[in-house]
Amino acid sequence: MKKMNRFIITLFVAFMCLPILVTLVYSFATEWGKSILPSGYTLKWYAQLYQDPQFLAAISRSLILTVVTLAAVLVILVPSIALVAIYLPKFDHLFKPIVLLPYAIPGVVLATGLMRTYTNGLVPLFAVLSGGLFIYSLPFMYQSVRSSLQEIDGTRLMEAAEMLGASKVYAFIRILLPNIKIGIMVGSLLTFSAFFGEFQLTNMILGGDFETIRIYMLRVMKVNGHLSSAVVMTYLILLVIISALIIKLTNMNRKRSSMMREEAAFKPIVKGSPAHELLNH
Amino acid sequence: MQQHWKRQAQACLLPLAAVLLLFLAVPLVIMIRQSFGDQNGDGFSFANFMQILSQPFYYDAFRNSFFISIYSALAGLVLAMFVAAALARMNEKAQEKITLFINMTANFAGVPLAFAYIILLGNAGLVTLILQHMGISLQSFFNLYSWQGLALTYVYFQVPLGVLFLYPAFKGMDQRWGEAVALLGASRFSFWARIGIPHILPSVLGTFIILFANGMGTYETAYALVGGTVSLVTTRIASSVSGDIFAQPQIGSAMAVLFSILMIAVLLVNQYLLHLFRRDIK
Amino acid sequence: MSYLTIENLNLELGGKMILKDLNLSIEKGQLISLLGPSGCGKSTLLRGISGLNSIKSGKVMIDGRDITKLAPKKREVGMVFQSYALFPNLTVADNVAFGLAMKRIDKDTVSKKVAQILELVGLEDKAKSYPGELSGGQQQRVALARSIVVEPKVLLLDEPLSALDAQIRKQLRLELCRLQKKLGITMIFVTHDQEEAMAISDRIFVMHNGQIAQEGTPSQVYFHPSNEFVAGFIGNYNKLNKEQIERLFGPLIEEGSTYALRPEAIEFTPQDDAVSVVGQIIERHILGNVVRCTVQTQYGTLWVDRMNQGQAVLNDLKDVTLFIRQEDVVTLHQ
Ligand SMILES: Nc1ncnc2c1ncn2[C@@H]1O[C@H](COP(=O)(O)OP(=O)(O)O)[C@@H](O)[C@H]1O
Ligand SMILES: [Mg+2]
Repeated sequence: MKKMNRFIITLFVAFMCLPILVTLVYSFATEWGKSILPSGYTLKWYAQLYQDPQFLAAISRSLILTVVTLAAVLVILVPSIALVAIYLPKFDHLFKPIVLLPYAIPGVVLATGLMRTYTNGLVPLFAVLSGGLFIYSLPFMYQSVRSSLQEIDGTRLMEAAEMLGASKVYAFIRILLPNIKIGIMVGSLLTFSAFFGEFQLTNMILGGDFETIRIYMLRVMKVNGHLSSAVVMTYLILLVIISALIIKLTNMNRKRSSMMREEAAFKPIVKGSPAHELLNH
Repeated sequence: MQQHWKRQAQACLLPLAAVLLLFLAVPLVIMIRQSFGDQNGDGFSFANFMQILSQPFYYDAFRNSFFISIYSALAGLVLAMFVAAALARMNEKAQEKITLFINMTANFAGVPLAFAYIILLGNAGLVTLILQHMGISLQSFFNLYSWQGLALTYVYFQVPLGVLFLYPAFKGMDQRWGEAVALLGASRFSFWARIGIPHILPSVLGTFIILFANGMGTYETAYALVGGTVSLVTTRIASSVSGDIFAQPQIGSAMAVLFSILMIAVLLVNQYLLHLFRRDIK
Repeated sequence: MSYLTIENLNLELGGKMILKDLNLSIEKGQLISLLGPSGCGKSTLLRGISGLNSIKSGKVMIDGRDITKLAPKKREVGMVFQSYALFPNLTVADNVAFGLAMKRIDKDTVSKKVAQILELVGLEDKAKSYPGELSGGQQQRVALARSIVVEPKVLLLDEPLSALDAQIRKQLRLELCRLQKKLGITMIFVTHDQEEAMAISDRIFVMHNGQIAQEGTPSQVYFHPSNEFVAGFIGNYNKLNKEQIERLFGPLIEEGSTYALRPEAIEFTPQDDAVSVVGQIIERHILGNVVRCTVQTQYGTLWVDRMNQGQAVLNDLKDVTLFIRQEDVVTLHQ
């Protein structure tokens, strides 16, 4: 039985890794397609890629879009989630369905609405795109921040601080934020990787006018597959670094919380957050 | 004093409300309005909807999306059940590693995934070549750039998503299995009949519906793999709205409205089923 | 002179009136317990006093000052929560210093006071630890120190010991008593455990359905429950009706319809001025140092508590004669 389980998991991991592996090999192959094994190996695709100003421009655009939107999310969304969770439980039921939002209103639908509303030039399209992404960050942020708040019993901490003479704003900054910091960071990193790899809204709303990394990837794919593979691998390495950060933070979080309350079961933040899977199809 | 503070707290929510209004509510309302309008968004009729429901050019998109999603969700679900069951019996460390692995591979969906499948199964793909050497022509029964290829590609991201959704239920079931054996000496059969199946069925159904919804909403993978050659809801809407040649935004809006209604209906069915099954719990 | 006074307090939560016309007054420097079953509104009353929940009508006064409409931080009231509510991101010393820092007290005084109070609760060597590194009992001591150090006029404790093991709980409640007497703090201690309330309080307020059902010293509440609820909640009284009582003792002078009789007031050996009743022991339960016998008599079943001294006779005893004194019968009011 044990062997069987191990076998299934191995098969699954292989199934998931296979496409990534062939992409990796392809990015180092001089040519692949005439024979079963590549005819030779080279680093020239990477060299070519890193010298392409358009690649660097695409990365920069993705970064700008991601950072600007994430900043808005952190400034507007995170305090609102905390505020509702602690002081306005009446509004909480409005927040709950947003976990299903990406399914109920798929990207293509929201993009359609945004385009029909804003192609008249009333609002810069970059802002429209950023606004659209903001909407789809709701599920990640809500889940990470909420579970973090629950874990530390944020309501109680705010009350305790207030009883000791702190103002609400002071208690929020000095007590609440530092204690949900890890939840916020994990949520941010998940959001970051989702925004950074965003394709659908960007392609529909701005398309070729704003070539982000994914759009660049697709354009290059049609011209030179090897180069495109090199883009994919570079992009994946960036995201692996981000994921490693997430792991590290989640582990830190677990250590702290398990010390905090002996009996309290650790509720994973990244683990089992299927929402993360949604944005990149 | 308390009332005063409540009002202040509500005021703090205004920026979020503004964003939701500007980038969610208003666009959706305008889109719904335009779905009843003509080319310029004026007038009021069901003409756009009639056109979608009567012309194969449009309703085929729904049909294709529907079947590809059903197939990929079913395949994904069955495979995910094996993986989730196996994963539930692994130790904690392994479980953590796998869930993180799944989260990482999520970044591979879309353009990279489409391209990797082209390298594997395309006209000059690795698998195609290997089969050719063995004297089998892959193209004679499988075409990557058709609905077949799409369904197969979707499976790649359906399986891990299914695992994430199913695995908690399987884990809970393993616990119950242990308890049932310890307390009642239940046989394997009676365990499955009385506890196992009732316990995982809601999760399995719910996961199927989520996977189905996920398949329906997929855009990037399809766009990268087949472009416009296979008509799907997502790509058809996108090209109606932003395509240069066939731009018919009012039809696109109507399709988007139908699409969203369909998705919401599916989710409501899901909620209802969950409610039905979980009556005993709530 | 009453130090904390609550007059006709009404408090509503989620459209339901939780506290109804509640009145209460407490002397300075006393440790009083709010005792009642869970859900009766004890926490809500504390939250009304502290200002965490706003009240609908009524008045809360401390030391002659009307604080009904003040914000929590202006009330000079401290609170200790069941879940400790320590700030996980601050060290023990910083947790304790938090309230002092809010009062803009200079740093030297703060660190001196923090050191003093930590010594008082026996945690001077944990000053640099984080709450997560302490045991539950230690965490609750920090929480106590954190609330005491700012010298609140009234300290509210909401089931502060409930999350702890029985042994630590008993030890900590003694320390709490000692500290309270030493510093002369006015404390309201919430608990649903009658033994705990009896052990530490100067006065007990028994709560029922959002009102005070009875107040008094522990022995007043224990020996003279004034109504059926208190008699039932404190120490498992035998409940008898008027008819049963009159058959036992003849016509009564005092009016009433329900009467209570403590299980340990019934004797197996002849007593002065006692009436005798024959019966059979049908059940025995050992409750630590007490054995509770259920005795079937012609007046109904009665609980009788005896000290558990391992007497063989108690174990074999079947047919017994009970001796009941009229003075042990307490008249209950509705
Ligand atoms: N936010 C709330 N909304 C509505 N009812 C509440 C709320 N909080 C507590 N209650 C109700 O108030 C009653 C008293 O609660 P509480 O003061 O916590 O009881 P205790 O502390 O004595 O156990 C309970 O019946 C509880 O259900
Ligand atoms: Mg309580």
